[in-house]
Amino acid sequence: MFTKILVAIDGSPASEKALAAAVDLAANSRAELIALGVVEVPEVVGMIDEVDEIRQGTEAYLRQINEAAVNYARSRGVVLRSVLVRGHAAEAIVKYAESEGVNLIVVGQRGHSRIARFLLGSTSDRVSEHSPCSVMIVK
Amino acid sequence: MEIGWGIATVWMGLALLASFISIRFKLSVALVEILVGAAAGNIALLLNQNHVFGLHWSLESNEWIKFLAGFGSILLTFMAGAEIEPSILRRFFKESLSIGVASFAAPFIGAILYARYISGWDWSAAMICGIALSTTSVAVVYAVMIETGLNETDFGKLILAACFITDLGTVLALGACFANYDWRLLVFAVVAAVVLWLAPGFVRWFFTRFSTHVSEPGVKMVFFILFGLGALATMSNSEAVLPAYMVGLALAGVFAHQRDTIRRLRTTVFAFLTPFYFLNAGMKVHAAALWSGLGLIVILLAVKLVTKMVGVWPLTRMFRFGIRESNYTTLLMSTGLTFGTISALFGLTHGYTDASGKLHTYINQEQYSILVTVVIASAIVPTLIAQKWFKPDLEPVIALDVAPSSSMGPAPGADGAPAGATRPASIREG
Repeated sequence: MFTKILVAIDGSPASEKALAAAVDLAANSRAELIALGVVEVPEVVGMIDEVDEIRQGTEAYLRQINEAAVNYARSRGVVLRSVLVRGHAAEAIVKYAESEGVNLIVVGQRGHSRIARFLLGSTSDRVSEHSPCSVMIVK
Repeated sequence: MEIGWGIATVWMGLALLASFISIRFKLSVALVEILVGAAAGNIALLLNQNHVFGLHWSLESNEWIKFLAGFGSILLTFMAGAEIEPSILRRFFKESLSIGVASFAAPFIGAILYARYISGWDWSAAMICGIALSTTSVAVVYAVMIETGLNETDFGKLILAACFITDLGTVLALGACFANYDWRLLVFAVVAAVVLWLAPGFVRWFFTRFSTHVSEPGVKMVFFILFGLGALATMSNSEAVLPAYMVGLALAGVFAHQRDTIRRLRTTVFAFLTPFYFLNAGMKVHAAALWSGLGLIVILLAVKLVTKMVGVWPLTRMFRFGIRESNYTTLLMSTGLTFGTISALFGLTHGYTDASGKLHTYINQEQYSILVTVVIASAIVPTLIAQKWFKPDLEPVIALDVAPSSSMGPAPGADGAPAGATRPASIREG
């Protein structure tokens, strides 16, 4: 049914659940699996160094997370391709899914408070709204 | 001197709060520090006015906070100058110089004329207004380009080089408009010219000889140069950020090979100096002035956007940018933050002394509050418009293909830039 699955990971407990679900799904359906990490940098900044510091720190962190994801998938007998992109999380996930022609996106739901959800919105909501394919939201 | 650990605790607590907020909400720490400073300052004012608990509530900066804030602004400016790649400036000299100068001159003149003849500000205040609104935030432009990968293209490099020229115009104006034109300025100009000429060779040799020592003599040498030129600039009623930016530009080539030193310097600056600068800048914003000046805030923001468009857009078309890229460039060059607040703060803390010894600052508290708000809005509004409607159609940069540790993929480049990144093609026409 699903031949190409994209799972968004950021190191949060919610994204770990999403990864576990995606790996199970890929194992059962023999689908190709891609893990995507998004490096977000604030746009309104006071210093160039601030941008570089955040970018390099986030990339290094996500690189570790993605390596762990690859090893986790391998332990379950699944080959996982792992990629980092820069941008806004929801927009980057949807764009990457389009460019790769995936037919399922798996994301975790972080369980923000009502205030945080109102102020920040939710990445999973935005992905499900704009995605070109099916979306699985893992709680 | 009273050390004032209590005040230090409150200020560092506010800086800590700003860090938490910026991390939680993925916002710029500089912006959050200004906002936290403004909130704390106005709350303290309110508590004081109402004599809450019968206490005197004040977060006014004392002498050492002023020093740390000033040091922070000097290092911010120095590091901004040191970020330029001299080869890029040479490569796109004609285009970046034209766009950069126009991007400075049009809002500088436009905002001065508006503030003087329509808002009725005096000449000094109008000039501060012109300088504060002439800026372009290199940091905002850089952040946006990092996200899209445009920083890797000729188009992006050209825009960044033009931004440095605009900021050079701003610091030159800040240094020149209010200086006393006497022998002291001459001394400053001569010494600065000699230091800027000799500094790259000397500092390069100095770092080669001493850079590995734990006491950081190289960093101390840079501080020595910045303090010395800052003292001479202040003596002639100029501004210490002017030589700081020039020294940064002069030493950019040297620091391109001293990334470890820059990293250590950055840690000190971010943790200890810039919080005092940005909190201090925010604390001087009075909320009451914002309500009464709301109309002027909107108009001055429009003045900045329109004059940037008048100055930058035709030139981008002349250099054969596409329509979408011209609009995008113009909007990005309309952003401002750090240099805008530095200029406004200069206006609020400098002025002339009358016969009775009273200091009359170039701008008053209300004008300062309005200008800083316009500057903050100019960091946000044009960026949002540019990103929403005029972002060039590029794929996000594929940063890294990560393989498990046994078969690692390509490592990032030495500068932290991704290896094997998908390089978007230049988007200039023709």
